Amino acid sequence: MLEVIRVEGRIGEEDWTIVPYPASNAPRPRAAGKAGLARNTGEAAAPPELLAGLAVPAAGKIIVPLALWQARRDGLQQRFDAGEIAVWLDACEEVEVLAAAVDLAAAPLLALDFPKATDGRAYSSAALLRERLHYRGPLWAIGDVQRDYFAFMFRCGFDTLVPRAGRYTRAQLEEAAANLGLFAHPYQGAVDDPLPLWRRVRRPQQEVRT
Amino acid sequence: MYRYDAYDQALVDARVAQFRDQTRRYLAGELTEEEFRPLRLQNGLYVQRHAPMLRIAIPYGLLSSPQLRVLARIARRYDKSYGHFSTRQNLQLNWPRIADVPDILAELAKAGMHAIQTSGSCIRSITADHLAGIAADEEVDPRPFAEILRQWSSLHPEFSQLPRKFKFAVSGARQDRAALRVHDVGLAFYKDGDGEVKVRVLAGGGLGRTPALAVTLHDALPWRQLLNYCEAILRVYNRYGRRDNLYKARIKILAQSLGAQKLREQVDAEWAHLRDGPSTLTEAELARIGAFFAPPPYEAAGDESAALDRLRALQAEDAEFAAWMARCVHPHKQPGYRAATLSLKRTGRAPGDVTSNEMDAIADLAERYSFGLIRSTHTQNLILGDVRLDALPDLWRDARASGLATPNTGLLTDLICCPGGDFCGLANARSLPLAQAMQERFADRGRLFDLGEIELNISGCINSCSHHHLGHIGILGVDKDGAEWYQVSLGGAQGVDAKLGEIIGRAVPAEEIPAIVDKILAVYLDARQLGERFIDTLRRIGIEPFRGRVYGIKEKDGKKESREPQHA
Ligand code: SF4
Repeated sequence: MLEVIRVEGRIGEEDWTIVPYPASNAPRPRAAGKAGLARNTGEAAAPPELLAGLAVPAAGKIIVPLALWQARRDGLQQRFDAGEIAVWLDACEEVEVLAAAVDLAAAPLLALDFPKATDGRAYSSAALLRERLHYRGPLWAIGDVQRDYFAFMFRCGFDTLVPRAGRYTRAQLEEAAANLGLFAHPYQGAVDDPLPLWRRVRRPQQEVRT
Repeated sequence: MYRYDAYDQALVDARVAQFRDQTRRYLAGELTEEEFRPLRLQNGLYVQRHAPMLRIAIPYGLLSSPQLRVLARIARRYDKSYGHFSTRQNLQLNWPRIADVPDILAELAKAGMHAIQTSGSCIRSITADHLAGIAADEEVDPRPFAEILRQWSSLHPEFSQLPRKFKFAVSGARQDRAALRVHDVGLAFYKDGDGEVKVRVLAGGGLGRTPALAVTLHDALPWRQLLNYCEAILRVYNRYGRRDNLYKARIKILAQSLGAQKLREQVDAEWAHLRDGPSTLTEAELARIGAFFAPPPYEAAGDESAALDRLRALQAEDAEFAAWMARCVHPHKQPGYRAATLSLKRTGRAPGDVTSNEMDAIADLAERYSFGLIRSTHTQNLILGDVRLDALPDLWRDARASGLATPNTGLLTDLICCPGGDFCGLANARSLPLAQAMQERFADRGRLFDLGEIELNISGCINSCSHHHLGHIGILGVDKDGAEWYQVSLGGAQGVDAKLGEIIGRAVPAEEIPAIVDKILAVYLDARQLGERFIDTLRRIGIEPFRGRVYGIKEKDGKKESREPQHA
């Protein structure tokens, strides 16, 4: 069971299993942050060797890497149709590619990976999925999901946050959830509320000096 | 200047509470060092050589007398009674304790200040022309836009973890005093033929290891689209900027690898979706923010020429006053008013350093002479922006009494220098003692004035905090087998025709630098034509004669071409 935080700080559980890449030393240049260049060179997000070593559980609800879905789609389609397969996106992968490979309307959920908390690409991916690709289903943040970033993640369109297993105690999660409303009136628009503060509320005028 | 409403106040208060909790968890071992690092950085807190350093935001270089007094008090209470103005117009405290930082931030918040995003991989505190709103050559006051950008970029969720730091600078004048072309984004506001405000958007500039001048992304962006377009730039950068190599992560590298045209296309493609969206600015919002920057209640000018005559008479009597008038007083939009620099570059003092007592004195001066407002400059000085012509002699006397009237603005001893090896953990060299040696060497007023306008910038390492690439003379600390060496470059310039300096030759030990600068200046004095500034002579004769004199190379008929011609 995965312990998750949902919007408004509700703590819950999910019976999905995330299928990660095996720990490997295989160089993955794209993952290093060269997506812009990789688009021109056509470099794969995950080399075939990496995918070959991937063990896919034969039953149950699983979230697999997009590259695996692309490579083994025929074998997985039936389970996808049954609502048992979901896809997660690496930080270096583009949501446009995801949208071309997965039927977003039929996907049970989508997950975006934060390889580390300081890699902010998934924020843009989430925003684009919601605003540009009009994805309305569950959107998960997985990977290095730290409590100090929960509010930012929700603002960018995530609705389910999955911290690393064992990173936080239940009490710590509850404390973090209770703090979600700390910034009640953010300045700028985002997915949760596209209006900037000055369109959301009436802000006071400066008194005219005489 | 801008004043917080309940929303601004609630936000900075919440930020203090958040950081207090984060600091508590860090000290209790709940947050690892690695987890705490980005959190503290985005609150301006570095951990460096001797102690932590806290960088306090002075958004676009504007602060009030009460705010400056708060800074003085904080420096007294939590630090060693002084602070350091940086080239980002911000104020740095060099000796706070980590456990005290939440309290410091709370005191700042009470005075409408913060340290949000003064460091870290995010949109940094925005810098501006230090004469914004008062410069005689200004077309559009950029301060309302800077404030709009400050709010938009503060705690922006999507751009909270960028590949690297991201710096904005703004200007609305014909002259560029904000170094727009060496920023990640430089925004030049102007009025087009129809009187409409447009923005020239420059992107991809930066110094550091791979210095680059920005390219133009948009020549005439309608101002209402400002946030939409910036959002597009940041989104492209957040998605495609490199994250594998610290030194290749700035947007300048993306601009170089894609090429200006491709970057422009990608930004335009993104902007096409965001254009006219909810962040589109309105006349009403610009007017609301603009009202905070309305001109102060100037008094009617009276007869400016009579006031000038009186000043001239005083200058004739007092050479000291005349020198200050010549160097530290600047033209103003408003007849009967001038802007005046309070120099933080007096000999024997680290450039940009200011004591708590001086901060209090400056706050008083600002209240007495300039509507209680102070501006910080990227050359590490302070400016009183709105001084009546006839009050200049009194201001000068008062400033002099506080040691703030060194008449050296724009001259060699107005040098820009980073904290370097005395404070900064990244430094290769101790730039401060070198700066001091230079100031002592050129303390003689006659010589200093004779040499005229020269920009000397000293950086302690390739991170280039002192913009040494832009110095007419740039000096860079390099590490050579653990010893302190320096590399000299010539011909850099800020402004509309910004140029990066060219390295003149191999690095030399620190103690040789003063003699080398002497030689460089000797070449200038030999070659200058009447009234020619150092940089003009350098551009006319090229770098070779300097190189030759410094390294003793024969000046092959003085005709050897430099690798990159330095004509403007
Ligand atoms: S230039 Fe280098 S030494 Fe100087 S302050 Fe910046 S990082 Fe530190």
